[in-house]
Amino acid sequence: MIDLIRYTAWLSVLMLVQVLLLDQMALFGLISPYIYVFGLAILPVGLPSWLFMTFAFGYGLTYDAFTANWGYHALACTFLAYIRPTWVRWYLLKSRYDDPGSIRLNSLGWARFLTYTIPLFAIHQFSLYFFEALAFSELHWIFLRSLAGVLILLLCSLGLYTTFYGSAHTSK
Amino acid sequence: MWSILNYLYRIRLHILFVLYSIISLGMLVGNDPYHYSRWRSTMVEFQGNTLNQLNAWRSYWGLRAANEELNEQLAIARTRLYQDQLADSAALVSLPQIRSFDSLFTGSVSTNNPDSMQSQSLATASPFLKTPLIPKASDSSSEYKFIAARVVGNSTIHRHNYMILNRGSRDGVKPRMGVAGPKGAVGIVDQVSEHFCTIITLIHAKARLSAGLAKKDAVGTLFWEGGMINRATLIDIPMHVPVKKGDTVYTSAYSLTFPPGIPVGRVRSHRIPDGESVYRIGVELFTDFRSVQYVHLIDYKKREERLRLEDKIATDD
Repeated sequence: MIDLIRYTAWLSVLMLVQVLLLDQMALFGLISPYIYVFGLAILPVGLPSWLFMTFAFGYGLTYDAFTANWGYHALACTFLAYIRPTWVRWYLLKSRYDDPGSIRLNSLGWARFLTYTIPLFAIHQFSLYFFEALAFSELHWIFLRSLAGVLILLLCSLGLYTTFYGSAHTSK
Repeated sequence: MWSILNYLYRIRLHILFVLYSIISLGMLVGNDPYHYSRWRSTMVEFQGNTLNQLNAWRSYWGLRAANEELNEQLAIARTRLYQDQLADSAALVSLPQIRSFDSLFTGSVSTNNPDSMQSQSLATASPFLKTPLIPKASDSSSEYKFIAARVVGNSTIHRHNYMILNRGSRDGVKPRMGVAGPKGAVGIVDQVSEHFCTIITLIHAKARLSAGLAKKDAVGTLFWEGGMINRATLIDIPMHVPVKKGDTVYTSAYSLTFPPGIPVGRVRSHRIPDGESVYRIGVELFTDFRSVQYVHLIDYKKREERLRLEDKIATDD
């Protein structure tokens, strides 16, 4: 229960940072680092899938409420939550990852941490931009924005992570 | 029965996925206007208050650029006013009006506080009045009122982009009012709370603006197709109208939200699609939606009268 409150608080802080700070500095007027997705991606592996999906849906919906773009982020987060359990099982648990808490950079190491987060970010970004455009004719543009979105999200996530946990603990 | 429940339990993740996806898609496609309006109003008040505080420091550091922009606009406006005065003895702008224009800007610039700017009539505050699209007879100085506002929240990365301004119903803001920045049209007022309002910017997927080309007797519809935030599309300009790259696009006299002649953008490309008799014009928007900080809300005082008349015509038909 305490963990649940802690995770909710962590997600709330990220959401506020997203809405009040990062949304105000869109890069090239097109891309904002959706840092809140990082919060979802590193939630504990042991969280039940249905609970994680409900969390993700509610979380995306909260962001939608702030931006008045109803449904877009809720849908993108639902996609992320649908893929994550399979990805965790296939990638993390197969390599005997058994940290019960949040997924940490210092437990995984840089390479594995990036390999774990990049596909999740990519699914979120692609589904977000795809449902925004809702046109196959714009696929190249959607891919381009998704790619840029993932790169910026990665940079900001790692920046945030090292700021919070310190670079000394992140190397392995 | 038990096995069915057991099966449903096993595929609960897939069920939840489908359920949440349907809910999201449902919301994405359409919303209940009443609940949407109520909810947005609350969110606008919250976001506006918080962003207002956060933006205070940004405004401070951006003062120099803002003052330069104001000065630049003032110079353009004064040049036009004096040129008009000299060129045309029947010009709308009289010397007392020019003096009141000066005093408006002197007051606001010296205090460095945009909040101190009071609303003024268009004839005294707009540098856009005398443009080729406007028939002089319709340019009554009392038709439009400008209300100065500051942008406290802004989005450019979504399909539906909004701005939040620090003016609300208390300041006389009403839904459907036009919003123009220093460089041109910005958007249309959507939701209004007591102290803030949201703007549907021109880079909103559902925004439509009646616009035309300078010195050409043709009016079309301008809209944003997504993608680059400085590009829009103008359609419905007939093929017999000569269009060339670089032509300026202005708001038209048909608009109920904007005065005619407010610059919107510049023609960057044009073509006539196969089988059609109208242009599809690529427009480079003048307003930089990423950096715009100060805008004017435009109150068209005769909107209700025009709407009533149009309704009457529609009813008679």
